[in-house]
Amino acid sequence: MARSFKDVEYTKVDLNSPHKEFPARDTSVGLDDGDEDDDVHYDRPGSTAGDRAKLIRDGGADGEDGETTEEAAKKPSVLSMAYYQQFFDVDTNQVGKRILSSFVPRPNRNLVSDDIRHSPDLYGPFWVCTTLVFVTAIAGNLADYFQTSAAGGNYVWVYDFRKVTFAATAIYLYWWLVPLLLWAVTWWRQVPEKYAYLELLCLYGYSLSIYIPVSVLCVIQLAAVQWALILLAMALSGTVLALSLWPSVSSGERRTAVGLLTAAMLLHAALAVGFKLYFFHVTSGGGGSASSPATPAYSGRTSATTRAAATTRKTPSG
Amino acid sequence: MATDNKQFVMEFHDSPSASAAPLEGDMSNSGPSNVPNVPLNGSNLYPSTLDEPVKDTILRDVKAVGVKFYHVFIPRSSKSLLRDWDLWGPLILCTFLATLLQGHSSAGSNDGGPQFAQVFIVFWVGACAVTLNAKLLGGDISFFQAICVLGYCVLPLLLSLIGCRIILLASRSLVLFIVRCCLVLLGLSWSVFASTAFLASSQPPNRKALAVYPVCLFYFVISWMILSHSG
Repeated sequence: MARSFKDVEYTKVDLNSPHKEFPARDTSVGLDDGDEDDDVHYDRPGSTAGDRAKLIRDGGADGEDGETTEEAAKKPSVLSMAYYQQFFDVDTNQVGKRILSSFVPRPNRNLVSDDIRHSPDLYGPFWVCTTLVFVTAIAGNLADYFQTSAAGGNYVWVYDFRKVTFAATAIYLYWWLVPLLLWAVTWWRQVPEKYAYLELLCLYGYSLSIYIPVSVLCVIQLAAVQWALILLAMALSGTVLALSLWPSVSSGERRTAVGLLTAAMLLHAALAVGFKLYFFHVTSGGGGSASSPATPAYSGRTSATTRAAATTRKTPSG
Repeated sequence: MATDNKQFVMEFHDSPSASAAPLEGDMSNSGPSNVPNVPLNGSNLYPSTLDEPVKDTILRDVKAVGVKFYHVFIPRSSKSLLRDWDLWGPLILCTFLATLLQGHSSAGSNDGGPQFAQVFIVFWVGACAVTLNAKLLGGDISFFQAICVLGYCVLPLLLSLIGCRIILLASRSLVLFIVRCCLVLLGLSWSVFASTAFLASSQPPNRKALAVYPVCLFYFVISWMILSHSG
């Protein structure tokens, strides 16, 4: 079985067939033929052979050893695709179910512990946010068009790319910054049952999903309808958010819990109201604001002073 | 043991035999398959394209791009097409698209359309995001193959943009706007259909919709930019 090196020109290492004399090396590259023996699966990190295998595999870089599941024994490095694939491990019906339960509040259900906890994903939140960015920008454009053409102005359709960048900044910041602050405060206050950052990201991402159809419907140029839709969406998704966050924050001090929940609700409301005011404001003056060219918010980027620049953020007086 | 050496022996060609005898005859399935069958001798493993006339080099790439354009119109999942990816087509299409979509940013006019760079960024960053998504969901398509497919399948949308420009030469009216809408919708559905014919087969079956949805979003954004371009 052992060859001398002068018999062959180069050493051939075949890792597909089990080498009985090198048990540790079999697990080191993670090639799983499906017919390996059980003794090469080291899923208890306490065993010394398992530790040796893990050291060979990870190069000693993998330090934390909290879980005893099989996945922990084969943790991929941050630079590999497999590390990020674990955040996208969802099926179509799972994503659909999570989106649906993000705006249907049920008193006994907690979105995080029931749906998300066993496999948090980043697919749903990321694409919900991206869709919301584009849908809001497009709907805002449409709303401007209807508003000014109803007012009788000779409106040449323009595509205001600035709306997209503003929407993207606001939504992505909200999506990852608010959970970060929430997680940081729960960590600082040592709340016993705090959620992981990934779970909070997941929760917040899915909670934005109701704003997609609401944005489309806000094209309707009636202020009452727009406000009703926004408030309804805020109420629904805010309730689900509160129901999911409360079991976690209430395990700590009462003051922290109430403060955190209030802050989360306020920020949620601020996002909705801010969007309504920036993208969909209907002025009572009948086109007074839209036909006057205002100075663009970004100077020096585009030299055109477009009519669409008239809808930069200002709160309507009515 | 001797028969298992095909995976880990450092060889440059794909032949199952480990002999050092010189290969002769037509080329095996390695290397670019659009290279004509040039007999190999023992010293070079790929035919030398350095000595051929420039016209042959250019025509070969033009033909490859043309074949792919043809396959966008008659989409069928073809492994050989996916293997010979190139990014010439997406570059040409994206440049053309961005040039046509460009708004006039002179001080006199009121057109605030997207700048060239914005279209470029939306196109390439969007294609990268969609491809990364497909890979992260567990698809077995390579990164550049997917970008190649996504880029080539923008061709129907580009054709509807050209159609819209021609329509815009006439006067503006609601009927013509609806005609433009239908044209862009047709281009959008053709693009989505063509790209999913290539990409959907590389995903596990319970995640196909998850991989197809970002493709639809990507083409929807491009078609929105086309529709809102009013010349």
